[in-house]
Amino acid sequence: MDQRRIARRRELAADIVGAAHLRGDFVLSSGLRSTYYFDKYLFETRPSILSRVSEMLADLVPTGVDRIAGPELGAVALATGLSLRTGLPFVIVRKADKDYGTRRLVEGELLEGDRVLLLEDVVSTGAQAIRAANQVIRAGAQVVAVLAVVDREQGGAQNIAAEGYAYRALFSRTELGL
Amino acid sequence: MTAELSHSEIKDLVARGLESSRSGYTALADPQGAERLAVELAHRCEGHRPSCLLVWQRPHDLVLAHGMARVLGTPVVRAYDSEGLVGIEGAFSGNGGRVLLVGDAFSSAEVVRALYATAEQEGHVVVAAAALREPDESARAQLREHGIPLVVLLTALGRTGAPNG
Repeated sequence: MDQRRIARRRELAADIVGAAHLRGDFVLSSGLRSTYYFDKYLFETRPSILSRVSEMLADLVPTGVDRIAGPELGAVALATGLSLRTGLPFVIVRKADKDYGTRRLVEGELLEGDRVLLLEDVVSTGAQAIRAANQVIRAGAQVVAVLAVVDREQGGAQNIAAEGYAYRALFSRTELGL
Repeated sequence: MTAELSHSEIKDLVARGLESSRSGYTALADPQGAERLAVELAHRCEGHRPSCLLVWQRPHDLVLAHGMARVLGTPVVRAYDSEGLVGIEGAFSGNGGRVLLVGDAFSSAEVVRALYATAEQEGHVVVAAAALREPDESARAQLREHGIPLVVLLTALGRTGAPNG
């Protein structure tokens, strides 16, 4: 990686943390208390960050991908950005516990046998990414890889790999200094 | 107010709420039965003198808490998972309140931990936990760890819990 790319990457990491890293007294849904919270929406909704994230994610898209899948809610903005950057169409993967009138778990056009790149904003244990990937497969497509913007290093990489999916993250928690 | 339902009545009412659901007790299957169970559980918690009920996000737990709150005359606060953070809906009554955790069965240690941490963060004391059915072992372990007495109507062995824990 050349120096200019390294510098851009470092700058993007700093901007993501600057936007999304909140300090305070937070109760996590795991029941643990934390002095910080990473609010992914605060970086995803900033166009200057979203465009750069999309640019860097585009470099990680494997060859032969037909479509991008973005699980709701957080990855939808990222899927949109990456779709605009690459020209690849995308679908939105609904959360399975929602009851929608159309009863579709994947919104948008998804063709039988499509080779799909699943995009996640933040991966912790990987459970949500795996669930979304399974929904895409149930809809008749293949998941060729999973990409994330941030990996919290909580076992997600191992769990996703254990399900047989190739996986990469743009940034790790350690790299972001969280 | 005194406890009124017999062991077999409790068992039948809980069974009615379980038979139409794959994910636990559902109050909507038998609203009148759910009301009776809520009243019974409330009676058994009076000795803990709660000033507020705290419940996790599941709708059926909220129905149970509502029924109990009507008897106990307390507000209900609902905690929920908001993208990994615990959010709350409703208001605790003042500082230093006595909080009663309410649920169908407290399905996991994480739920108990999240509810306990929420009450603690808001400056309140958890005085007891109330459940229709016996929580799983990990949840029970969390309750023990925090010294929280458990009031349960129907244990895993089909016995009913004693009034007031």
